[in-house]
Amino acid sequence: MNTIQIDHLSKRYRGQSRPALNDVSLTISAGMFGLLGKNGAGKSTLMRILTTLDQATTGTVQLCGIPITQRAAVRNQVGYLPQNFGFYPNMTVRDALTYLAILAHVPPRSQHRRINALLAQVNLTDQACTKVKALSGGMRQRLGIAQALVNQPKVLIVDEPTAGLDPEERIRFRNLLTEFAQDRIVLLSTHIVSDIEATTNRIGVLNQGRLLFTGTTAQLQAQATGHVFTRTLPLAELSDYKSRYEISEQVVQGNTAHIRFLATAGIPGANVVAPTLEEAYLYLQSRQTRQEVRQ
Amino acid sequence: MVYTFGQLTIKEIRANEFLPSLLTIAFCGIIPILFTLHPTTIAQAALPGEMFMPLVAILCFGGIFLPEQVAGVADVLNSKRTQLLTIYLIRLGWYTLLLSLVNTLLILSYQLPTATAVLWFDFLTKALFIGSLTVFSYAAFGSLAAAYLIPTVYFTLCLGYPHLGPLNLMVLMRQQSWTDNWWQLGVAVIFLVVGFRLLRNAAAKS
Amino acid sequence: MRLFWLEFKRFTTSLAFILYTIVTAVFILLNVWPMIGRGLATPPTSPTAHYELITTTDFHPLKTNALDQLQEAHTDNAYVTYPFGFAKRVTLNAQVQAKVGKLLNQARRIDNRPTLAKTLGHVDQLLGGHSDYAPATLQRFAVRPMTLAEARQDHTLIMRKDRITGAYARLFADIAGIIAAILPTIVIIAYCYIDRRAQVMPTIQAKPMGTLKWLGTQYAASVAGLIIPVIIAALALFGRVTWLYPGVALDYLAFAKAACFWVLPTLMVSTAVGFLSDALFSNFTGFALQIGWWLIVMTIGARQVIGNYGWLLIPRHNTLHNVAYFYAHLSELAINRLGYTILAITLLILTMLLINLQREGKYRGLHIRPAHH
Repeated sequence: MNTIQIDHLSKRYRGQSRPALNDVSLTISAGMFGLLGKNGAGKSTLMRILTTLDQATTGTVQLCGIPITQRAAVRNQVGYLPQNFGFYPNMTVRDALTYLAILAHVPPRSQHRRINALLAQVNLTDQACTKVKALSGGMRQRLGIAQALVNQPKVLIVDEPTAGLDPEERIRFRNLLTEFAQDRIVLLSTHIVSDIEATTNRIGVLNQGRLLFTGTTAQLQAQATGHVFTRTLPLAELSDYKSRYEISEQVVQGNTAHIRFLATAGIPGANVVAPTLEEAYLYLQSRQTRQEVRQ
Repeated sequence: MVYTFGQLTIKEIRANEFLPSLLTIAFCGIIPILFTLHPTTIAQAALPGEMFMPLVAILCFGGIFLPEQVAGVADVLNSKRTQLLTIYLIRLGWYTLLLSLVNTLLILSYQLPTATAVLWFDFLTKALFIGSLTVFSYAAFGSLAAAYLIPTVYFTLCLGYPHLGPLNLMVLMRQQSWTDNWWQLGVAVIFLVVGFRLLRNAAAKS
Repeated sequence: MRLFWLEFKRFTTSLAFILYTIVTAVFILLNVWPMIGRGLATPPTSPTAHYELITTTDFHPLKTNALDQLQEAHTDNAYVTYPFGFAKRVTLNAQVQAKVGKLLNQARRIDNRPTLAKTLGHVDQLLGGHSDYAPATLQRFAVRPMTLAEARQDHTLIMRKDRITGAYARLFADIAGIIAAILPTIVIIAYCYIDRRAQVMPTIQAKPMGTLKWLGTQYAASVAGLIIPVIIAALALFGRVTWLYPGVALDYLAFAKAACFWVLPTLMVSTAVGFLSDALFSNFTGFALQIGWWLIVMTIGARQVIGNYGWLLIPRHNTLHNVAYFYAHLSELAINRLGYTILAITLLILTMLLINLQREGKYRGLHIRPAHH
């Protein structure tokens, strides 16, 4: 029963022509699952519905066998780190965790022990008495993940957790998530492909409210195989290439440019290369755009 | 330069002051319901300007500092050549103009044969005095609560505390000399100068 | 309880609270402290002294004052009404003027209060309501300075029933009520505004605790904090009274009773308005509404400050005297305070419903567009 079962989920906001979510169906089992999509793709809407903070227009969701409409029961199972996590600036880290532990119905007797363990896990023991407003971005996110885990949830939902973090903090945070994914479902929503690459091979791709892809990273990369090319060309030709193809990488040296780009068919003079996950993701998005234009 | 500043002013007012200004006008719309527009004495004529407009001024001038409460906006603006202080001055000027317009309309509707200029000066002074106190309170404490709390308490003191002398806002209502307003105007200028200096220092430190 | 203490600690260490505490305590002390110096223990003896005003129960002064004022207004055809407490001039056409004249003549022949109230009530209707002649406000015509006998009776009540502190506590409650009706709204709106900026709501709302428990705790902690400067001022004033009246039997609980039963309901309402306003608008719009309400109540109350309870959010008793009126209208005051306590709870429940709707994604406030999609 440790699954999230989403069936034909749609969400439409009043006054907006395009639905935020459009007939999304997805099954997520235990472990880490990455939800990839650009800004405005519908990821946060999906996260908010899964955490009972928003309502679906149509469709059903079951979280560990509990229908999402049973809000109180669902909230007992879920830990949530929202996008742009923040907390009362004047509270200390320990008080903030205690406060949220009480809201999460953690039994009083377990609170102290559990908070100490979490502080140690996220490496914030030394900052226990620091005020929230004095924490760095990375520390604040680690506090965010600690509070999300305070009720030992079966499902951990994290929304764009690494945005704005420096590389060191980002790696540290990803490692934490991987640790926590060992005995629960962790749903990681992000637009940063490297976060997914470093943490999971099970992903879903959302674009304009539609689920474009669900499967493994290898399957996504397989779809783009034969559509990623590399070429070295005079700098003068670069702008022409940019207008015709989607460039995924460019390195300029003197008068020449070394580029990697996406194309539907082979290009004379260009070498086919194995796609990276980011290129596979870009290919998927551009294929969808082409299909929409054709329709 | 003038053209650019004018454009900035228009964009600023349209983005941040337009809606609050509409709300202010709507709020002032209750003046004819609450007060008589046919006063028989100058004390009666002064009632809306001395009792109601200072409260409207707290709402307006407190709002000067609201848009930058979103994290990072103040730093972004202060990193530019035209800094946040200029934006504050635009807002201050705009709300002074708006309140003056309301005051003018109110006084014109009285159709009084005399004392029009005295009333206008009196009403404008109230708005500037309370407005400057709002600016000063925010600048001194860096807190929105202070910007609203301190002028409200001062206004309340004016209602019953007898020892404020010429700085009591209720000048004409209490048959004090209208020249007391010069004191209030003077203090308003001091509050504004000190308030803006504090704001500038705070911006330089951040 | 732990949640309450965390909330209380968070609230009482905020800058908004510290500023509020200072200005509230200073405001109360500035206004009440000079009055404490007025001696109450000495019995009045001079038959020619000018004693304080009281609201009498006599029929004749009431009738004379009311009809004199009505006669003057009728002669000039310049009546005054007070919609929302503010004076407005009313001029009548000839037909209505004649009707008022007829009622005035009728009233002169009346020798009992209910009939007079009924007749003047008709005058009030002809004036469009909100005049001094309405039955509810007719009592104002019975305000006059005390006679020596009344001053002695007043003094006896102060010494025996008020035990001195009671008289000062009423004045304290009157002044504290003025400030408690408006400042908590500002503090709560500013406080919630900062919380909103810190983006705490999604984290809190995703937790299993019910909104009623969370909001109720936050509200209780805020009210407990907001009453602190009122209690500080009460303690300071009580200390001064005990110092001024050594050896006199005082009511040691008078200030505490005034703070808890007179001021607290007002404070509860303005606090609840702050929370409701934040849930509705998420900005300072609610302050405009509260200040409008406050101004109207202040103006209505100001027409008779020496004893005016009715349904005022700020019941007025801005005098150390008029004691008989207070005890005669104690039940009216109690009903008023109970009513406002219920109103505060109702506003809080309304806030809870709004937050619940927000929590379920059914309501996004009057300002918010869908931000997360």
